Amino acid sequence: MALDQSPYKFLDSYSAEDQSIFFGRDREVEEVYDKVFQGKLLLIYGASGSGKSSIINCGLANKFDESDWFPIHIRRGGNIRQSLITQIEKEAINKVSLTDEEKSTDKGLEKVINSVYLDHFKPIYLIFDQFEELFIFGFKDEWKEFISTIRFVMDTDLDIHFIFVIRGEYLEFLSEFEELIPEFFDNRMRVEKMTRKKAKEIIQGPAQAFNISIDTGFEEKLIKKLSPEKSQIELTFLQVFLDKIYKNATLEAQNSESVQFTNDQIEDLGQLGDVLAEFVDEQLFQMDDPKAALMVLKSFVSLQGTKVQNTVDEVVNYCADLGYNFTGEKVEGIIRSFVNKRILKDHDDNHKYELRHDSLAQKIFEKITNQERELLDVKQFLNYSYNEYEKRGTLLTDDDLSYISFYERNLEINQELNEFIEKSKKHSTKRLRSRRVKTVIISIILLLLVTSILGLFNAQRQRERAETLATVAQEEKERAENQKSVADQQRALAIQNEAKAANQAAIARQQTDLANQAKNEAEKQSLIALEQKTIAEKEKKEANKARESAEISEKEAVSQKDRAEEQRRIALRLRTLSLSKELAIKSTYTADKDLKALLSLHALRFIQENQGNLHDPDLYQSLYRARKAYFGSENLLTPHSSVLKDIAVRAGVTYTVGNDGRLIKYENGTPQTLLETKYAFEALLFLDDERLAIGSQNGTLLIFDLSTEEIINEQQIHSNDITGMLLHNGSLVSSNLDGDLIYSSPKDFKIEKRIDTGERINDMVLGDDEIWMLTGRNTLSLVSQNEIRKYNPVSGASLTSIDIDEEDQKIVLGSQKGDIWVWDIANQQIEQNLSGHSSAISDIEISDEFQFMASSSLDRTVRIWPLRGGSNQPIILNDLDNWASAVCFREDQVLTGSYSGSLMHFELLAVNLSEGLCEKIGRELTAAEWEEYLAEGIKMKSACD
Amino acid sequence: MQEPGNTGSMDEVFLKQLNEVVENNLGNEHFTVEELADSLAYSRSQLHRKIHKLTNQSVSQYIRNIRLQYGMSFLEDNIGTVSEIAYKVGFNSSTYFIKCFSERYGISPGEIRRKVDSKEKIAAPKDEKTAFEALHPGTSEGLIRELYEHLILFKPELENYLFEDKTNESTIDIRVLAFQIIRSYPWPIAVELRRLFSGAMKEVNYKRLVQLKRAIQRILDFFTYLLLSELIEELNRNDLKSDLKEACKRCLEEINLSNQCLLFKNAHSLISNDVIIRFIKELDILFDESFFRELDEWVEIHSSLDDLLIQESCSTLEQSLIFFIKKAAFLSRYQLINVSSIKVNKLKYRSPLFKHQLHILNSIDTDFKIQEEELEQYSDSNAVLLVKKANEPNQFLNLSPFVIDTHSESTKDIRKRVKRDIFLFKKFDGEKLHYSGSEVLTPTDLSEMENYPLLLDEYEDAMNIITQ
Repeated sequence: MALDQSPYKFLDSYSAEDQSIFFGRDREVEEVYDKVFQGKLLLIYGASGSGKSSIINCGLANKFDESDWFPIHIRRGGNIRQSLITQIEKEAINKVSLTDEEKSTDKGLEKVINSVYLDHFKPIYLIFDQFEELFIFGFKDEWKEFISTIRFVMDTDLDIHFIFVIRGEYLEFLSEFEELIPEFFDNRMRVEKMTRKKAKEIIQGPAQAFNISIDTGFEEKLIKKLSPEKSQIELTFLQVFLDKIYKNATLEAQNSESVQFTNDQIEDLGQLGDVLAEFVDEQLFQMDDPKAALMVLKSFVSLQGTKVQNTVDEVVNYCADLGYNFTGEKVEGIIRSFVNKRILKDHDDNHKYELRHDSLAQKIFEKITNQERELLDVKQFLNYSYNEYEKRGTLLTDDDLSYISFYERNLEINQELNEFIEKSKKHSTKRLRSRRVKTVIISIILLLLVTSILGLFNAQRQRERAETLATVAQEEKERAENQKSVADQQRALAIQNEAKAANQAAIARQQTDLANQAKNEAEKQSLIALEQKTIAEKEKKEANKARESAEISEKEAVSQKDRAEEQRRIALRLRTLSLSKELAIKSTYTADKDLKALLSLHALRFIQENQGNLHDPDLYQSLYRARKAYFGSENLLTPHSSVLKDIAVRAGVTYTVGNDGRLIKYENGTPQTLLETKYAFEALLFLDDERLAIGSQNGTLLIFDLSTEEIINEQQIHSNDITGMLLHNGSLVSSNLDGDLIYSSPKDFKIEKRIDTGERINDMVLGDDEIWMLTGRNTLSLVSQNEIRKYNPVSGASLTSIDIDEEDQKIVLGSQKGDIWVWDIANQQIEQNLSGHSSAISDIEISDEFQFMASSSLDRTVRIWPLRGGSNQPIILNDLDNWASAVCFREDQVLTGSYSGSLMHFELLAVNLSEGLCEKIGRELTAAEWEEYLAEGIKMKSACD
Repeated sequence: MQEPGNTGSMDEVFLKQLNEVVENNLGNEHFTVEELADSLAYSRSQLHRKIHKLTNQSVSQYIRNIRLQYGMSFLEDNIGTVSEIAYKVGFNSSTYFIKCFSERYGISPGEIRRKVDSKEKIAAPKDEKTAFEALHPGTSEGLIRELYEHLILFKPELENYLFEDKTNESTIDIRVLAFQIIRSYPWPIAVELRRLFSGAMKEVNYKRLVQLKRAIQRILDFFTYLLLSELIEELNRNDLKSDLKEACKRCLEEINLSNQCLLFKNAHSLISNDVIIRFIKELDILFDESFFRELDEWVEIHSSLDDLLIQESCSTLEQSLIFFIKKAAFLSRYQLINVSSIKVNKLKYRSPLFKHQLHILNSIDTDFKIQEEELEQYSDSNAVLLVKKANEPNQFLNLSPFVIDTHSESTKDIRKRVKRDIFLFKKFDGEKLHYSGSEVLTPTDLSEMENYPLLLDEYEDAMNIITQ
């Protein structure tokens, strides 16, 4: 064989032609060959660099006779369904003419596939390599359309098979497929990384095929040097080394007959560090303009650290987004150099280039700065939103605008995007202003008017009544007094008359009769006067009563006035609280970080002074953003290189496990790797203060001792992915995807009981003395002693996660579509639907005191829902760097893990976010700002007193 | 009417005789290549080799071209409507005549009629390959047409595909005809035909030769299983001649060409009495003289294949295959099904109903569809059956333990899972039964199958019946 042709593949995967140099994968190839006959659909998953593509494209392809194997390779491209059609059409010999209607429907696709089949008469294998691209770059509409197309094609009579090849950490997204394709997971295979033994075959096999002699112990030495501790080998590293050694060996062999691999060549390689990172650095260093070259390389990496296909134009645009304006010619030159340096693959039929391997993407990804990442994230978001705007006319929402506002200054955006943002802003301001002004004014006016009018009206009425009564009483009194004085005058007259009568006795005698008559008259008058006096006294008493009543009325009027005053105070408090909410929102929208912080602190102060809701989502958001403006991403750590799968907290110390096989401990915010294994970890559980149980994807359980930092037990007791673990009556209960619930002893993993539920178990939680599980698609199963009872709480929904509120005896269920349902155990009924998340719920956790519930979702948010009293508006944590994979409470904090392997912590209480802010702000609000942001009549105060 | 090139006088005489026989049978739509060979006292293969050498055409192409030439001449003479002329020259469908005519002459019969009326000149016939032949050079369009026409005799509904779109004369897709041929045969035969039609076999090379051989062998194997199953059924009721029993026994020990020939020949003499064959009545047509003549020829070719040139061998094998495919055409009247289980449902006061879970094994789609039939009668379960109608599986010929379907195997343990395929019996080595797959090409051990002990029991029962 020619010496310039290497027997090792460097960074490429093996293709059908490489059969003579493909080694070490017999078992996997046999298994995959077996599985393609088990159904129309096969799912292959495993870590990046585990050799999935080679097993299909070389191993499987060579198992088939040419007449029985017609592979069509499909990558997502711009849209996966479109790429599927394009790739199939490329294989057509008899071109199919479709009507416009047929082109857009699955019926048209069926026609094309059928024609391709009739052209070739071979079973068609549609191979979707790098299938995770659909979830990294695609949007939900695209997934849905594709899923329904796959369902349609599967239901036809076409002799067609699907092979999906996906990285393990993206497996979870496929649950989207289950609704329409329930059998999606039935036929699957996990590809593990290469063991040391198999790695030897990789070295020896091709060497033998190329007649290369190998020194004794060469293989062991190379493997040991490459991977001194791990039991599994990084295949890509091994290939890169072997390629390098082969090249050196061919140079040495120029004068001799055959090539030889010697132990000295390994020594010559020097210290073996991160070979890929070194390789990338070395190649960059050799470029004319390393900075520009690095920028070009970065364009071939996604924000998730996977590879991306790009045309030259797309690279030019990418660089421009980050502020580098390169010409197409320059970019093309750099790309060609990278193709020659074997970093990039040459372009495909669509003129797209890509990195040779995902492992390279990971290394380049590490060179992308946080700022660049954020900018690209925003740019990606903006482009998507602009597309939506073009399709449906939807402008950016307030949340969207607030998200992009931080980056606006640094974004290089074209005119269309700029106009789009401006239009959205105008629309938002208009809407906000009119809405807020309207609601605030109307509510205040109404409140004030109503309370004041009612109060005043009442008081007025009472006062008027009292005054009227007092006037009446006064009039009566005056009348009585007048009558009394008339009576007094008449009595005096009577006495005068009596005296006159005595003096005139003689006359009187003569006039006795007259006098008697007069006397009688006087007596009569006196009686009348007496009578008049009694009446006057009676009237006086009445007047007194009326006065007393008037006094009571007056008191009542005063009390009414007080009440009106109280109402006015409440209205003022509400107005202040409304103002504080407005301040919080204004703070969120403000770019000036001092102003942002001051407004949020004033909002907090108003809420505290007026006994407002300290868990108000707007207040939280404003304080969070103000804090971030000063302290940056202080709450972000990226300890795992792959999905962080579970979090556990004991005595205030946090522990996490991830798909990268690591167990990490966090003390004082510093991550410390306690364990690094070949497994992809799934679940974590404290058995006691000293021991942790860890469940993995291949069904292995491990017990880790925290005091000795050693694994004290390790056993594969499940046949498949472990989905959950809990402690129940001293037994370690673990569940798996095949539907087994295994009770084992935490000491020696001796299996005590095994329950086969028949359906996969998604999640489980311990109730009083029973286990609640989510099985199949949407069944809630209750395992109590040996009995399984099944419920179907939400028909039609696909349930993903579960927790229990033991205080209220309610089950909380998270669904695939993002809904959260609260199910009452006693009534066996759904009591509440908490909506808000827009994608699958990955985890649900209720805090120890049952005060809060946290839900993490693939919509990149975590929501904290208050469970007891008050508003049920959740605090939305949307500052996540990726899809949220797990959530957990730790004292006054919420911890969340993500698909990128990061761990973030968020304060649970808004007030804690204000700590340290005052020290950072160098000023107070100016009088003008006070007037602008706060309503008139509120006394100026310091934000930090 | 045929104008051969520079051929010698003997050949001219031969061609003249040949044309005469065809012309005499011009209106006979059922006139076959076998009849032509018989009339000229040639074997089928000899006739093919001779015609191919002289005209570079297959026998059926040659016959068709003579028919079309007469068609042209009748059209030019204006002696009837297009339909009348089609039937006159031996086509049983005018659409098909129009299609063949248009392809041969590049002009439709209607156009010829118009040109004759307007006295325009008619162009000479085109002689290039058709699109299908360009894609599948090893599998000529003529071969597909010949097989398809023959299949229509057994499955008349196939004619519908020749009337696909009456508004457009050129819409008959030869690929669709090939597809229909494949799906008319039981899966083990169908899969071999599909491989042959695939582009992978288009070159005339060693690969094609192996495939042709495998396809013929598969058909003969299938005939053997049918015959064995019928004979063992009969032996279970009545005793038969010891020669026949011996032939059965040898086939039960190993399926190979000499054992198969022995079985076919011994069975032939008894089959003609119409006593033995109870279910597949067509077996008496199958084992006629032409069959044994072709079988003898096949035995001869089989033993001398290594000495022949690839091209010559392929050509010879193609002729044999066409013969055997045609002989197996009666199978299109049956369906191959696998009854995996039967459940009994019995309601109070009512007769029991038997719910059959079955897979149809005729589909070209490898993901065989599951079907459920609830019947008052029941068939055998855990068995591959040949039935007249899939929804009446109670009338059947049980092909177990010769044909096995593993698609319904449900072993959870992956290490014990056998490959999903239809397996065909090869031999018994005193300990284990050996099978070969139809789709999975690597040899597979079926002893991990859940039902393997039952298979062994069935095999022993069959052997006991024969040897008792």
